[in-house]
Amino acid sequence: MEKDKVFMAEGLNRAAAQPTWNSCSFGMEMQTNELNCATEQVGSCFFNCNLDNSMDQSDPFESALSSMVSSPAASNAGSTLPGSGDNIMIRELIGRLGNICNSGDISPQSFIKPNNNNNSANTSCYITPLNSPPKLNLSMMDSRIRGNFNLPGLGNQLPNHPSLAPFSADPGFAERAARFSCFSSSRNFGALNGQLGLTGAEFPQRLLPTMDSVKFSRVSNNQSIKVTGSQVNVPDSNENLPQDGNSGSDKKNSRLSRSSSPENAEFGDSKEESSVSQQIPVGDSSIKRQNDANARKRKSIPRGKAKETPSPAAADAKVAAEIDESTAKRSKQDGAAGNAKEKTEQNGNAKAANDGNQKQSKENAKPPEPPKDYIHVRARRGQATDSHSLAERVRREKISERMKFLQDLVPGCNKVTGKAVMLDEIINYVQSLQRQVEFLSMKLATVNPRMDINMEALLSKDMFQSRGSLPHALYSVDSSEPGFPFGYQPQQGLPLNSRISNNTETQFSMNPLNAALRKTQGLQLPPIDGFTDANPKVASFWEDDLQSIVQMGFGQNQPQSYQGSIAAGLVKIEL
Amino acid sequence: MRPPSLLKQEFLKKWIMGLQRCSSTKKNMNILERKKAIKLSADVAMASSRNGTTCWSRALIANASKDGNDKHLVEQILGPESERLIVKKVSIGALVCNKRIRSKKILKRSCGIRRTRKCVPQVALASSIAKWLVRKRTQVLKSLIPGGEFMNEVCLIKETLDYIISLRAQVDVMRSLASASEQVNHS
Repeated sequence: MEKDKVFMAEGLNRAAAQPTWNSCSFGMEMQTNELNCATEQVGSCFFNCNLDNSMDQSDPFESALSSMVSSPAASNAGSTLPGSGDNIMIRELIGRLGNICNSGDISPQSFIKPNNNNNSANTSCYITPLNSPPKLNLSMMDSRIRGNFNLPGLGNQLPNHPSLAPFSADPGFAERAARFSCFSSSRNFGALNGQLGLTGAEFPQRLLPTMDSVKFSRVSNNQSIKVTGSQVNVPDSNENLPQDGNSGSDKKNSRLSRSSSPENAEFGDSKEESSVSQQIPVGDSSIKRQNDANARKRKSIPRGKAKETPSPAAADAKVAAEIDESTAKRSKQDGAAGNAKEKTEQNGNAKAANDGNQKQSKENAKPPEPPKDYIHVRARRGQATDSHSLAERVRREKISERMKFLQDLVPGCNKVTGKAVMLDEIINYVQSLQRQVEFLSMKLATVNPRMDINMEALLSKDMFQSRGSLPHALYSVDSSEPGFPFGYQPQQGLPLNSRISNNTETQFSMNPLNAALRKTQGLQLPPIDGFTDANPKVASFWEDDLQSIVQMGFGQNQPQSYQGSIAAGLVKIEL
Repeated sequence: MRPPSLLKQEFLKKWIMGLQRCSSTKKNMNILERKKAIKLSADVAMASSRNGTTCWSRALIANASKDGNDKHLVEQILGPESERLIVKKVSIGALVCNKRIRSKKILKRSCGIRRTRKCVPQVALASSIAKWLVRKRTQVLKSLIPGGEFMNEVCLIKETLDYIISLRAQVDVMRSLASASEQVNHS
């Protein structure tokens, strides 16, 4: 059910009035936490939307929805009372929907005007019910609405959901909803009704996260969406064709789901809408059928996380290329229909066609989002599709992705292809590094018989050493080492930083310890086992910095006591 | 990722503190003891700079603190974090890892008969040979990385990445310090 709402919201956002939507959202963002202000602004926004667009009767519904859509995000972003604020918005929405649907001739302006004029009175009487717990609110609103309008007699169909009855029961509403949400009227009405079978309390809460998630996901995953849209568009749409009996509609579905990416503007096509709408009410049966043929493999993380939107799909960003957009939406449906569908999804196999998911799609309207809690995988063409092999494939891809990082890290691995050889190189490198550590610690042990690091001594020695002696001490092991050509520029200070490529040294400290360390960076020990220093350039840079430091630093600072220098220096040490 | 200079700074700071404590606790160590102390303090300092986020650092600290002699040193170096790093995370990780290892061993034993026949691939399939090679290598790598036996392949590679970076930083710092001390001693 919340899919419907979200879908409709999406449709509204897309199909029309982008600028008005933006203006509404901006208006929303100006909201304070006060309830009165909130409703008032909503009302005014609503009003503005109407005025801006020369829309027909149904447009107020659309703009109301859009304003409602924007408001939860805005209020969530800004408010300190997100729950109550959002609930109010939602109930406003419900109320207005009911009003619109049931009042064919009543223009929204007339509805709004009393709100605007008698803000305190109207809004208060409108709001005070909202302050009370949800169910109570809705019932009160419902009674208010009922008082205004005649229900077409479908109220008995939803005895448990008085609030939903007004607008869900109205066939006119359903038609409008269908028009905007790509549901065909009569056939889907039953499904819509059934799907709306959430309690009144549930509905607002369910609506909220989905809207939020839509917002967040769209914002955060824009890049991957674009990639996904562009990448997936071509091959999958081709494959959709021969797959099922509903191939025609499937193709449209696939196109629709792709089109939900921002680049694609095909969304608003009515013919696609109708085809999609046919898919949806068929519901589980069709889904099951589809899924048996082409379904998707999904590794579901505990459902408790289903609503966590901003969790970065960074790790899954790579998988995003294969991600099935629609399954992300499914994660939000905890509703009645959701479970059955998801199970079938999980049981089935995945093929390149994502027909099965498009059944569930409201995501026809939504942009493809990388999932928040699922690792979505789509089997490529010509590949095995059972769940084990898919899991294997995901695993392998993760591993290969990480191996690429390792290639950059381990010197000499660029030309190597193949896991075994690369692992060999990695092992060699790690072993050599460990041996270097051993060797250096042994060397330090010999050099420091008393196990004290005499920074003061280091400093004092540096002071007396002429710059000329350093080149003698330097013996570059690596021919590529550019130590000498840089020379010594003692008076240079910070400009040396620009030459530093690897290390991000940005500050010069006057620390003697620092000076000592930097000075000796230029010295190169013979490499062990043929591995050269990984950062030869770094050492040379440090040497230059060191000269300046020695000049500047030592002149100004007196050699401090051992403890003092350590204490002061450790804070500012940079290497 | 943090800039390498920050990492090195942190490492050096902790390392020198550890060395100080070493020298303060025990005088007149022979060269081997000194070397061991230096290495230990360097390793612990490097591992603690990761703040318990990586598996290898936790394992390293755990291994270091197992030995009674070194435990005090480790605790001193780590300071107030020592309880947090050693007790909580390592123990939990070890428990989980041990269970996993035990279950894996049981599984391997049950399939062991089949496997012993196939320890060297008789069939000259390139894929099987490659798989066997890779498996051998990963075993070696697991032995190299501290705490590597407990990880699956994916984690292993990630840990290797982190470990290599830390090792490199450690080597650089140690080298610079060693050469500085050498310079001081020569002149």
